[in-house]
Parts: sequence; C-alpha cells; structure tokens
Amino acid sequence: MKKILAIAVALLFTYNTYAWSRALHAAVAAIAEDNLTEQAKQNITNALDGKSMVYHAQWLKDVGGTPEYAHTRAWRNVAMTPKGKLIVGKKAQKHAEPSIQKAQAYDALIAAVSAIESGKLNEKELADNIRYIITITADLHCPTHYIFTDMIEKRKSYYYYDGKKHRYDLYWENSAVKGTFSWRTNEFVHQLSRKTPEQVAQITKGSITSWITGNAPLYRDIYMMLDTGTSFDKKGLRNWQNKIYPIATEQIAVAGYRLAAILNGLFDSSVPNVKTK
Amino acid sequence: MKRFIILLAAALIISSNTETFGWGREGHATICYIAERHLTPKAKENIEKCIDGKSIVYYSSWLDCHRAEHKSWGKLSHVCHYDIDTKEPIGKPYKYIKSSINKLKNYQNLTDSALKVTIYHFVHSFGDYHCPGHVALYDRSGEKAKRVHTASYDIYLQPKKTRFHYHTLWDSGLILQYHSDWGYMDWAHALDNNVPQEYIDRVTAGTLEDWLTEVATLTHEKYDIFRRVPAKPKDTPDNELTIVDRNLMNEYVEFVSDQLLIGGLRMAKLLNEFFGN
Repeated sequence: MKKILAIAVALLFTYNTYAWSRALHAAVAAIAEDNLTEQAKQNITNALDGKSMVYHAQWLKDVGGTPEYAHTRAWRNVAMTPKGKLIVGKKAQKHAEPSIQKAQAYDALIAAVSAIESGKLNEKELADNIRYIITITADLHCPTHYIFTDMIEKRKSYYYYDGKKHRYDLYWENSAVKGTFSWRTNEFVHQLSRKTPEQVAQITKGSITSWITGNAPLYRDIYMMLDTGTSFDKKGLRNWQNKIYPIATEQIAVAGYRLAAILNGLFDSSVPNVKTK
Repeated sequence: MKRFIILLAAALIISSNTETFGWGREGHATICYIAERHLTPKAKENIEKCIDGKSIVYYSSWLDCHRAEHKSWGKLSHVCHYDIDTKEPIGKPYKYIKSSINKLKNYQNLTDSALKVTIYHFVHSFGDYHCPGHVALYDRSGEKAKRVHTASYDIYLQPKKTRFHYHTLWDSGLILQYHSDWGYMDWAHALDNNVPQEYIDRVTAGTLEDWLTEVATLTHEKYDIFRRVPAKPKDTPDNELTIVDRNLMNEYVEFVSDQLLIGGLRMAKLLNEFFGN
C-alpha cells in the first residue's frame, strides 16, 4: 500500500496529470453525436447495441492490447513528407524509420469508411468499423499524431517545469486543454459544438485526405512552438499555454464536426458521402 | 487507506491550484453558466456576437490565465477592498469593475478588442467579488489604511486532516472537497433548479454597491473564526493550525453555494441590461 501511495503522490506532483486522451476522444465523439442527423444517429446507435458513440470513443485504444486487435496499434499516426504528401500503404510499411512503418492511421480510416460504404459487413464488422472511424478521426486532429519525415526528432521534444521533464507529445494528449479548462464531456459540447452552418460547411469542405493534408501546416507550426529542453517557470508556462489552448479547443471542435460529416454520409441516405480522396 | 489516498489527491490538486485561479475554474465557470442560463435570447445572441460565438463560460477564467500579458489590468488585484466600518467597496479593483460596467452600458462605442477584454474582465471580476476569499476589509481610521483581515492564514480542516490556505479554502477548497467530480453543469443543475422568481427578484434587487457591501458584511461574519485565534504564518506546523470542524465546513460550503448562485443571477441581470436591447 505504501508503494501505491508513493506512486499516487508522485503522479500528483507531476504537472498536468489528467487523463486527457480519454477525455479528448469522448469530447470529439460527443460533439459529433450532437451534429448527427436523426437518421444517422438512429442507425449508428442500432449498430452499437444502443450505446452512445461517446461510450465507444476510445474503444480502439482499449482493444489494441488484445491479440485480436493487436494489428490496430499501428493505427495511431500518419506520416508525411516535408511538402505535406502522405506516406501511405507499402511505402510507409517499408520505410527505414520505424515510427513511419507504424503510421497507418490514414490507411485504416479510409479502409473503414470504404468497408461501410460497401454495405457488405456483418453486425460485428459494422460495429468495429464505426468504432475505428470514431477513434482514428479524433486522433488525426491531434497534432502530435503527425510524423513529418524532416522533423522526426521534434516528436521527442520535451520541456522542464518545476524541475521535472515533460514530453511534448503527452502534453498535447493530456494537457493542451486540461491545463486551462476542467470541462466534462457534456461541457465540451456546450463550449465547442456551436459553429454556424457556414463555419461547418468550411470545416467539412473537401475530402478526408484533404482534411489531413490541410491539417499539416498548422501541426508543423505546433511542433515548432516548443524549443526542446525549454525550462518554464510558472508564468512562462502559463503564457505558453495561452497560445496553445485556443488551437487545441478548435481542433477538438473541427474533429467532432468532421466525424459527424463522415458518419452522416455513411448512415443517412439523404446526406452525400464525404469523399475519401 | 483508499480514502486517505483520495483525500490526499484532492488536497494536492487543490494546493497546486492556489495561486493561479480566483474562484477556481469550476467556481468561475459555474457563475458564468448560471448567468448564461438566465440571459434573454437577445442578450445571449448579442454577447456571443462580441466574443466570436463562444460562451461567456469559455472566458470565465481568462483574466487569471492572461493576467501576465497585460500591463494595464494584469497587476490589478482580483480581491475587492472594503471599509470595515461601512462595508462600502473602496479602492482600485472596485473602480475598475465600475468602469467596466459603465463601458458595457454603451458597448457599441467600444472597439471590438476593447469590448472583448471588457467582457472578459467583467465576467471574471464580478464572479470573484462574490467569493468570500476575495474580500479585504480595511480600517481607515488611522493615517494609513490597514488591512484588518488577511486571507493568508493557514487553517486545518477536521476531520479530514487537510491543510488549507484560508483564501484557497474559499476559492476552490470547499468546492473540490465536497464535489470534486462535479463540472460547472453539475453545479448549475444542483443550484439553479427552478429557483423561485421571488428569490431571483430579491437577490438581484439593488445596485452593485449594495451587492458588494452585502458580500463584505456576510464574509466579515465568516472571518469571525480568526477573532478567536491568532493569525498563522505559512510555515506553522500542522498541530498549531486553526482547526475548522465539520459543522463549520458545512456552513461554509452552504455559503459558497449561495454565492455561486447569487453571483450568477446578478451577472445575468447586468448582462441583460447591457446587451438585451
């Protein structure tokens, strides 16, 4: 018990210890659900045994540790050239850089959308593919899920706060929002699911591929927002976070609206499908 | 032991938040959300147009986060000052919120950026000035005004054996001790549930000065605990700290809850006046 207590204390003294990743996924799914058409929501709920998409928001990560879904562990990241061209399929799998070999999130997302479009899935396959889309779409709006071949080292960026070392990628997953807001899932919806129809049209314009390549310039800038090894005092960290949280909250909103667009297209016959390419 | 770890966790989270946040994020967000629930549709629409379509809740703690960035109001105290005899508000923080209110009465005359910052200042400070920890009483009978109470006492809560800074106890300590799992929507649901119109009319009657004087008077009564015990510096050992028993804590949390609700209702009244036409 002493050991547990020591770990608990250590975790609490580490800055930003929130389970953001799970919260982020729930937030994106909830915003998407808030923007589904009635028909799409009904069809998706039926396919997911009556449960909300929010319940399944991080299902893919939860099952990734099981033998049946071990292959999905490579479905977290995407890789890109310096010019923003996606590295996919065999090119990625045969790449010399190990992290790029495992950057198959784009392929997995496109495959899941195509599989549902085919209409040939059994109940389990349909539920699985919906859940793939829910988790991967959210991940692909988290900047540190992008690997740029000329910035591989940037993925290992870190900073110091209060004498402790913190990873930048984990900062984005855990604290980019939670370092400023303490919202619960329904509060994310209240705060971020409030775009005008014109803004939604702008966010969802284009194809899944263009969304991802379109994210790249901003996400490259985000990697540049930290000089690795920077040591922050309390004021410095606050000022730095003030630049990040507006971007982070916007990306969560954008992910939610785009996820809704994909699912509305797939599960409401009156809504056109989002093109994959 | 499990309970102890949970209590320790709550205490450490609270202690890590001491300086950065006034009411604490939950307190500020709750007041703003209660206010938002009582806005007229027209006022809500007009306000949100001014702040890029976002909710006032989004900006409820903006002043805490961004205070280091601005010379004009960055160093302004978030604590309101009062004359101990009359309980009238005095000093710069009072003048500043008065000025914000006067600006918002004619908000059409402000530039977009000035209007935004004035709204951010108002929604935060107005909340803070309903927080007991943000009341500073001054004896002005001598040549130099002397602060009578200081919120920098350390107290020790029983039976939870948790050490609190007096200021922090009011800002976030009681909120997190009693309902660490509640977000602002939970608080609003709990406090703002079919509140009788007669109650709303009663607590929102009067002027800004009436309201602040009421907060100072009620807070002064709560500060009576320190008439019985000497002030304690921060390095006082636990066994020499003032003990607050459970009954008193229950009374305090009741007061905090009232202040969150009343602060929200009064904020709505003013915002409806400013933006309702």
